[in-house]
Amino acid sequence: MLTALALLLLALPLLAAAAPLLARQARGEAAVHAACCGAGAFLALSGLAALLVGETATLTLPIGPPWGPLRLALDGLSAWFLLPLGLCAAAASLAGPGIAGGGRAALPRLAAPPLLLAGMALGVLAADGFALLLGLGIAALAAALPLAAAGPVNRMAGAVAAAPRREARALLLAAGGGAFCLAAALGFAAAAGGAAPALAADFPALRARPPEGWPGAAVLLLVLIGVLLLTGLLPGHRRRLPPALAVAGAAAVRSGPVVGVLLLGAMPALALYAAARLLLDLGGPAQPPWWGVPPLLAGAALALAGALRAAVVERDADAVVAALSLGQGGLALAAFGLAAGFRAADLGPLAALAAGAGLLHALHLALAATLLALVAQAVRRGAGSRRLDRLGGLARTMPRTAGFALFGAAALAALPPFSGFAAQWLLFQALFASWRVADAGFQLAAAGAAALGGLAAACTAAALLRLYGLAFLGPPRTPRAAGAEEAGGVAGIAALGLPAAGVALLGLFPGALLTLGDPALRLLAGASVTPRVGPLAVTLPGAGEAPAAAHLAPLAVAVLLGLAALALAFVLRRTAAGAAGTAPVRAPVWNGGAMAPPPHLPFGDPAAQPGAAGMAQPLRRAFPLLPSDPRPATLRAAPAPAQPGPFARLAGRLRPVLPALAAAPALLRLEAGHPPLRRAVGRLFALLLALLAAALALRPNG
Amino acid sequence: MIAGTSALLTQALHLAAMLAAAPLLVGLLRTASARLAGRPGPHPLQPWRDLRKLMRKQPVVAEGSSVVSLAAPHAAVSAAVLAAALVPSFARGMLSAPLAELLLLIGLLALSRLARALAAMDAGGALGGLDAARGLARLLLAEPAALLAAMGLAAFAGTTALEGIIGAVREGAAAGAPRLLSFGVAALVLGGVALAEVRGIRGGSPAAEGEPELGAGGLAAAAPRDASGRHLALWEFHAALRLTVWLSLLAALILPIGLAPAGAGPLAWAAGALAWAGKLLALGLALVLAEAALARLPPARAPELLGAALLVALLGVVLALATGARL
Repeated sequence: MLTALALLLLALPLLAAAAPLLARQARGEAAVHAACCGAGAFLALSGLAALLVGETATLTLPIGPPWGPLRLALDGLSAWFLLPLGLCAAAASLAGPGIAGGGRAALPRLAAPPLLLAGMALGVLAADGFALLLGLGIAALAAALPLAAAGPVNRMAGAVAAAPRREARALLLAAGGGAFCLAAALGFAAAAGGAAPALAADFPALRARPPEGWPGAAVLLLVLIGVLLLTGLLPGHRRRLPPALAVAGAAAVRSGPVVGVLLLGAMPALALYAAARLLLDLGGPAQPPWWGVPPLLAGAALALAGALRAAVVERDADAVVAALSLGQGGLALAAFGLAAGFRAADLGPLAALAAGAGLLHALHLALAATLLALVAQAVRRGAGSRRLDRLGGLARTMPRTAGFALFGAAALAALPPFSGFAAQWLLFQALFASWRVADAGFQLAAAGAAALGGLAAACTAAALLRLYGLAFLGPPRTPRAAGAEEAGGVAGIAALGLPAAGVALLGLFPGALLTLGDPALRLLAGASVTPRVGPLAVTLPGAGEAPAAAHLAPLAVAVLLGLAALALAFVLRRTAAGAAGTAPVRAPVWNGGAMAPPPHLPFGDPAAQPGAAGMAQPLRRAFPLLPSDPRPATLRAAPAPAQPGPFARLAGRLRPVLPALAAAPALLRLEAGHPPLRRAVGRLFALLLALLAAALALRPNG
Repeated sequence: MIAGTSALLTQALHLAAMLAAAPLLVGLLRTASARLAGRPGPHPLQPWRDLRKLMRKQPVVAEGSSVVSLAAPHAAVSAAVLAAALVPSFARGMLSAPLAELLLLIGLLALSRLARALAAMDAGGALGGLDAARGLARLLLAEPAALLAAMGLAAFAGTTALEGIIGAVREGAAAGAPRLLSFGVAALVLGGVALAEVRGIRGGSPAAEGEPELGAGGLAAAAPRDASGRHLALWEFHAALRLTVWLSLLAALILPIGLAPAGAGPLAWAAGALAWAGKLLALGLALVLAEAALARLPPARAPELLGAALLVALLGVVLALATGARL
């Protein structure tokens, strides 16, 4: 099977090389999409087959320098990550023709998708550090180069990709830095393990002698930073999305929809694969418990950052999806960190549970993000814009897309019978079990990660509600949105249905999928989940007997929810039987008595409608530390552009501070008279810290 | 076989009791709230009468609304009913006991809250959007607090299953262990989250009507502004069920006194039902008192209160971890 995969890896660049020929054909892009769809399906099926059979194989290709030929390997972990990659590629290519439209395509649109897919697959199938770096680098180049090379963007279709070159440059810079970090980490690891040539950082050799002590710590940090940079997921600038996700929006316009969806859906999964492979599989089981703390905290922080950005800052549909995808990736990274901690404390079943949460999260993230990214592209094509403020009312004009969008949103928001709930249930149960690790620092890190993860989950729900409510509900806000049409025929339905079916299966049968991923779990956690996992339910390890142990049985929950809905419908029918009319009546919306909009605003006054910035306002108030919005919610006269010198700027900074300093005693007196709630919260926090310190000091050792 | 029949019977009785008690509890709390403000207040059965009247009425929906506003009340009530079926009221050992655990409960309640927010946005007015946005800000602080409280309870009892926690509380109370402190903190936080629920219940009182449209009572109302007829009845019922679920959860976890053990007979059930009613009333009155004390808190400052709850929850988790509280 690995041979066939290797042939596929070779064929995809050949297809990219044939792009100049295909560019002359009228149906060239369709051919590329068909080939990519077949390749994706083959990747997913071979991953599934390898998981079912339990096949492991290695293959040396006659490519590369004589001292380090390109080597591929297929084991449980890479087989599992072939699933999200292949499914995402297949769905994106299926949707491609419907979204991209007909006609001849430019060269980058034809060359980029196969090249990107080949790079990602090479990254997953790599058997040494060199091949891994090569694969990730090819993927970054394939994503960035078409944007960097082309001329001005077509500004139609609401594409506000004002500076795709800048984004591409950021991605390339990040990828270069990440490659450097990863190469350094691999070199460190190889040198610490005593392996001879640093370049051929062979995975089995690394696994046999994992780094320890300070080289281990250096490897950990370098790998974390390197993986996040190389896959373009590390936030580069505080006002912009991470490069890979920012490129995705521009790429959807320039280098075809397939590239955009692959970057949103499969790129975070690829980063997770690299992190899991390098930190958990190759890091070795003999690491101290703190080995898991940096990925745990970094993942939780990334989750909150992504979800908050999606809920507050972003105003474009695909940018919201990108930020959500980043946040979900952070949660999966946290799960892998937790697994490392459990494994270090010799808690095998819990480690397998946490690693299973990470694997399920990665697959769920890829499927749900693919679904929502495809929905965003269908909306951009059907309603002519991706700005949330220009959409609205699409639930009636694009009902099919709206249904799939609701499904994907419910999955991402972790609502009970859907896939996100299963993944987050496992993650939070693993976090809740962190007290079984005797290390106090690890326990506190897990408590902090649980707080951050809870905030991230709530922010994700808020972001999805904003996305769905503004785009699909309410009245249309522009004429173009009022005239929206469904795009894409049967292929479009199939493209949305494929990830939706995956999401449904993952949500209803998480136990079966964990059993399927058992080879990967053995690699990651050194233990199996089999005794605790049935096809219908997952039971937590170490919690005593049946009634006291927590179960995850989503199928039962789904059946019970359906029964409750049926009973409710029956009761309603019975009570309404005697009444005059039962069908709802339509009437004009009651707008709180506000004046009707003037005739020149047939789609309503924008200032009197919920908008992207307005929906975020209460969240902004709840999180005062967020950066202020550079784009005002309403039109305002622009302030006169003044360019003060450095001294004037410094004085301007100090001006509000000085009177406050002078007035400090008065403030203190005020506080003594009437302590406001905020100060009480601050005191509470100080009390918390003091109690924490006391508890840690008093805690008996062991 | 006998155990299964008993579990099924307990489950059916429990569900019927929860569904019947929810509007009654809201009526009692509204009356108590009005009496605290010096008004006679409505009859305690008023919510039931309203429900019966509204159920026969034809709903009116906004012109531009989609199928979402037709389906949302049903989804919200279904999720709330399932949550109500999971939380033990007067007896343990129900049929749904293996499913009943905290994370699923939080998820089900989030599902019904999001359905409520979607329905508010569907009509398309400015006020609906404002309503949804403020509800979200509240969700944003209540859900992490509830999750952290669940973490504290899990560290205390070793599981998030309700049966396991109740058993651990009984043992811990018998031992009089100091680790009950962390448990108390978690219970306090759950109470704070329940308080955030109760702020929406008072909707019908004259104090709320006297306020301008954007006031506290208007926005935290149980139903979206445009709901009417059957849909309004469903939304009111949904809010009452949520409140009953939170209070029953608190009652079962903090004071598991009087809960009939699994497989008990009708006598123990009756004692359990009496204890349950007493606990619900006591907790509800405490919430009403707390709400009356906080009545002057403007809605924009509610996040600060919930932020405090979040910090307290973190404190509880740290305490639970530090005292080595585990089985």
